[in-house]
Amino acid sequence: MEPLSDEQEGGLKVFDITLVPDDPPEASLYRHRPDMLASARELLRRWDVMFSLAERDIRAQYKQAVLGIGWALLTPLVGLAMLVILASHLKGFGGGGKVPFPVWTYAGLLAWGFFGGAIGGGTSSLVSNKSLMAKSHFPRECFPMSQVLESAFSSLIALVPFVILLGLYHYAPRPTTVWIPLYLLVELPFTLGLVFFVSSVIVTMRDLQQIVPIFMPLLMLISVLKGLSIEEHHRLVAQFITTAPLRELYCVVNPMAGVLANFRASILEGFGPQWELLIPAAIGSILYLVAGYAVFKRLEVNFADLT
Amino acid sequence: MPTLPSGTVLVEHAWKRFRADRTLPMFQDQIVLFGRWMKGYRRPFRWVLRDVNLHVEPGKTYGLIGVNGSGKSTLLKMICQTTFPSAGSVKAIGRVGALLEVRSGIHPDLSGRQNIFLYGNILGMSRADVAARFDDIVDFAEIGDAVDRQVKFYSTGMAIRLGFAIAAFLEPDVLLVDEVLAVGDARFQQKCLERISQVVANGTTLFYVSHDLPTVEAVCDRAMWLADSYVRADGPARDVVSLYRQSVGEQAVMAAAQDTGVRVLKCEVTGPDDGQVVSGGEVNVHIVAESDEPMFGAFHLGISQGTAMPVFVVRYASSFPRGRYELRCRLQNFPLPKGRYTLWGAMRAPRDAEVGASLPWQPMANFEAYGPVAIRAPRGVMVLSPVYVPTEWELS
Repeated sequence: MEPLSDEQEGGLKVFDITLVPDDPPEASLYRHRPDMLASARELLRRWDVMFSLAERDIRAQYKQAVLGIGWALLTPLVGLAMLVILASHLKGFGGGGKVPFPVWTYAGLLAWGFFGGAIGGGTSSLVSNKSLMAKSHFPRECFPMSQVLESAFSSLIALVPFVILLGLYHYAPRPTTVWIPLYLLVELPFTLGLVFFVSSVIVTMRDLQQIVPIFMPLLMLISVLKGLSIEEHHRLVAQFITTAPLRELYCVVNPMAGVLANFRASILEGFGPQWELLIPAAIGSILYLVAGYAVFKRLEVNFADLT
Repeated sequence: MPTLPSGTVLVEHAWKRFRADRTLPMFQDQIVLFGRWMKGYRRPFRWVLRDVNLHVEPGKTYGLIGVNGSGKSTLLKMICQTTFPSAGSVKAIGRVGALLEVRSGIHPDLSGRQNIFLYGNILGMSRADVAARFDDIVDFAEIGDAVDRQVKFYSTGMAIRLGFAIAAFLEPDVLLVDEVLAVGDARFQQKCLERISQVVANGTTLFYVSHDLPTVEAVCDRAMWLADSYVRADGPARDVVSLYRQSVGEQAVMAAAQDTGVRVLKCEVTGPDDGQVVSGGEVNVHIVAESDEPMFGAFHLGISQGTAMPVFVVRYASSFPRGRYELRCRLQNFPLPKGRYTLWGAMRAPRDAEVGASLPWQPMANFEAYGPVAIRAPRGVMVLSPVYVPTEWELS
């Protein structure tokens, strides 16, 4: 498009809009080809934004609450009370073998809480930060990831009631507790992957905003209450899924099953890692991360326009 | 390709489109769409920006003007790199910062202090850097002790001041200001304009979007006029703004006013001896109008730079007969410099009269004035409207 009048370099240029074609040349059309490695590098460079956002949300969440950060201690306890009451009224729920039921349940809540909290907060992390997203440029991954971080923070605080609970029931954690970081390492990619997936899909498909809050408690009930001690696990899984490869496959599809079982078994029952559950869970977990991140980067092009 | 210095903004043949179909995101619609997609149907879209080219060097100020919906904010978003161009490329080198408002950037539940550090971090600054400027920000925003109060308890003015101060003192390489100064009071507006000139002098590139044309002229070196997704003009801010003003005036004249009982049949503006209008000379306005009923009221005439806000107004109260009449007005001294102006007029009955015919405020004619060119104010000083004042200077 040539200007009609060009007095000198930098002078006034008036354009004839009839000379502008209806569409840009096909070759210049933008094709979104996310470069996952470059994105990951950029993400590492702006790592601190994630912490800032998490800090912002944590501060904002407990501000103007009379109990302040105390809620982070109370919420899991209330959740525990509800589960215990619920389990006492339902047949077929409850487990834990020789471990006191509340302790056993709370251990499950801990491992689940990190995952559930991250999904719960991360789901709407893009949609609710619409205005910040339109105004500043930094890796979009920081929004959902800051929610994962926030959930990790809450889980750390939720350890305090757990210690108290152990004291009340005179139940000492087993030495195999040292394996816990390994299980969290398996849980993390799964959580991240799912948060990436849900938070980006929700931008175009808001249905998830309704679906997630309905399904998460259900999943929690099943995973935490119906979760099993290792011996029971072996017995029951064998009833549902008779052949071994299918059981491993189940852990690939639902890494949380493998993580939860190991988590409780190590803290409370003195088992080391059950590799036949943990390895499929780790594989599944990483697959979730790669797929979730790919979807996120794919949909990223729409974030600023559709939120 | 040579590396560009921080603060450069380079837009090359950028196009942007949005979806234009009446999309119903229901499940059955998606299925229907998918079926049609298989047959080669693609969703319709509309272009909101076409073939935009820009090359702005560090430390320059660039204004974007145009009516609502012409694509200004979308262009800003692309420069901010929060939205992708549908075709072409947009590059902004260095840190890009946008002005913040409450709920968009400023978090109402956090204190002013926390907001300052949060946004500094989002802009990619270290805590120490932010801390070094912290006092300046608080001073400029005039929030004092309130800096440790939650922003939601701020007055509107305080929140706006904070938002501006954060963006303007964290000195990004490219600063985007989108129509926000108008909300502050006059003193703060002037303070902001001064701060902007200072930031620009320090080497920040400024993009300024506003409907307030005097501030665009005051702030910007260059400007781009966008109209309905097209770039209409690009060049020195003053030339582009005056072109834009003209077009606003012309479009207003073309939009025929509804019939309210009085019709203007003819309107002529001439200078001395029926010639050109000249600064400082006399101007004759000749109006032929027709009224359905006789009325008592006042005829107002005003001259503007295109918009509905006149530089001055004159008034003639009388009783006007039914039918055709002619009204002549002689301005003895045309007080405006060279430029293109629009004559606006209205006829109103006095407030206590039973409402009969009247003429709403509307443009009546465009005319060109010849004479000396208006003097440009120093950068950062906003001139509301140009007035021609013959001057004599003496230096001793």
